[in-house]
Amino acid sequence: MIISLRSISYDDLKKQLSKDDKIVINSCSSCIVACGVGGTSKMETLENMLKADGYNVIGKDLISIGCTLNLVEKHRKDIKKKDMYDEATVIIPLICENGLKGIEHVFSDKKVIRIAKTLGTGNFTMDRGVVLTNPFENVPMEASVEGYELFEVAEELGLFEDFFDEFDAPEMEREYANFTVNGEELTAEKGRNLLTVCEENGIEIPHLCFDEELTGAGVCRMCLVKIKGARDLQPACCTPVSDGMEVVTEDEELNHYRRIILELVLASRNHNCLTCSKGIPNPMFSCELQKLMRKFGIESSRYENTSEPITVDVSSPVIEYDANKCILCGRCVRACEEIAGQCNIGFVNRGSDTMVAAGLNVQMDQSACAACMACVNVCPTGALSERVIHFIGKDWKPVKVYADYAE
Amino acid sequence: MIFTKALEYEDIRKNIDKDNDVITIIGCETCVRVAGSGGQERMKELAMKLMSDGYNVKDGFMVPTACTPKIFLAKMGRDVNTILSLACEAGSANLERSYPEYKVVSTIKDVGLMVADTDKNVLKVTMPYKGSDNETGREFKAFVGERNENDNTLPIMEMAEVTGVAK
Repeated sequence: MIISLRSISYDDLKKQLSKDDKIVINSCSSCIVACGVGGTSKMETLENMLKADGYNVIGKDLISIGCTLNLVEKHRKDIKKKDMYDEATVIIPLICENGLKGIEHVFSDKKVIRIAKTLGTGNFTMDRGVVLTNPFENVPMEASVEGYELFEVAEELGLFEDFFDEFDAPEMEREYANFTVNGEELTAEKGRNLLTVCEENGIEIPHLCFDEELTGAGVCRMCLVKIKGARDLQPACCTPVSDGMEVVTEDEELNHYRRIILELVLASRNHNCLTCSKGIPNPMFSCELQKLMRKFGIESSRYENTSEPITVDVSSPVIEYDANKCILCGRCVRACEEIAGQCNIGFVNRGSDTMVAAGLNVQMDQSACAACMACVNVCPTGALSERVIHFIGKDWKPVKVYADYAE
Repeated sequence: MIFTKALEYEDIRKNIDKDNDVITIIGCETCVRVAGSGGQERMKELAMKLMSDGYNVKDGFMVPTACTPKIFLAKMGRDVNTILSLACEAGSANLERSYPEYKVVSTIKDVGLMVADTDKNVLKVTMPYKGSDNETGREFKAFVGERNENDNTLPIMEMAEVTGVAK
């Protein structure tokens, strides 16, 4: 893991900007996120700060791996992002100095502002967060197996241990909506997505196809809620909050629909995942489908499962694709398009034969997959997971580890 | 990503003991695989060579990343006392810290940071570690680690930067 820290203050960043600039903030979604300098929430923080200070931020973009040059190029040329990037005069990349070199090349016609200093390599630990173990020569610290926590490194080098502080910018003028959810009065910025607002206020709405880093699709129907005056049930993940809304997120009828949806999911393909790596909830990953099954007390389905077993694709050295566990939520499809910039994953076939496939329905290693893991990171089940392989014996045979199949 | 090179076989052998070391190899599937110094094939090659030379190699695990707690996805056998790390130096540090009761032996050395192009299958060293300054700007074949025919496939660094060494 590459270790970087923020190297400039908010004031110094503003000194490099003019009010006429058209700014795009983009971020790598890899190491820099763990270092607290990148990712969707950091882009949003910086966007809000700059907008509150009167700067013209025209967009933001998350890139799965910023040091993979072809992915950065594809983001720039992406049909949905091209206009934004063409219009931009300034790029603020939340990326390490290594990835910055690719950004500077791809956006050589723009002003690119560096905000991070890269210090070496290190680890992500469960107890101390990110630690620097192998500093570069210009960092006055010795290599250390224990590693240095980021606050120590920041103090030693005069860098910033946190991201920009939103209190360094004036409060942004926002329009707020007052509404009720399950009788509770809430206030949130107008236009924000209802599901996210509810979650921020401790109101859990079951969902499967929604991921905060992706555009809403509203296809799983688990987050359907009642909104007074609306013609029918509405997907909370695609509903912006507005003044006077009266929302019900949970009652007997909604939970009945949710149980039916879950039973239908359970009846399609194989979700008996006792040996799946995502089946055991742990800090690194857990199965969102199983969590919902447990929440709704579903142990079996009333519907007949007529699906045929599908061969697990282990052609990729890093990704295991088990279509038997896929619930067709489409998160991977959107992640491959929006975060990877690849559009390598899509739906194939029709009706009950519909499935997610790579390339022109080929094995993963035969497709243009860049192994950036954007799809794996958003998959709510064990359909797309990271491979863990155990090799044993004189012939070094691969055997199954956390998988339902023999290699 | 981190660009690495495999250590010479003899240098790895020097650090392990035929009589006392019961070995598991733990490999990382991220940067070292892309750099061509790690990955499944290299792990098998190393394991076979060590076994044929009489070393007690019990098994091996490929984990998604060795610089995170995902190393714990490797389940160590009871009699194993030595880990051969097929990971970058940060991954090896993670193994050493996480398995203090085991002897951890590196099989890979860091060269510096790299930018990759997975369509062109090319890597370029951008920010070298101490002692690898001459590698700055050099290109290598992705997943193989061999030197590319030229260093201009990825035009991401100015020559001044290459000669000036960006550290």
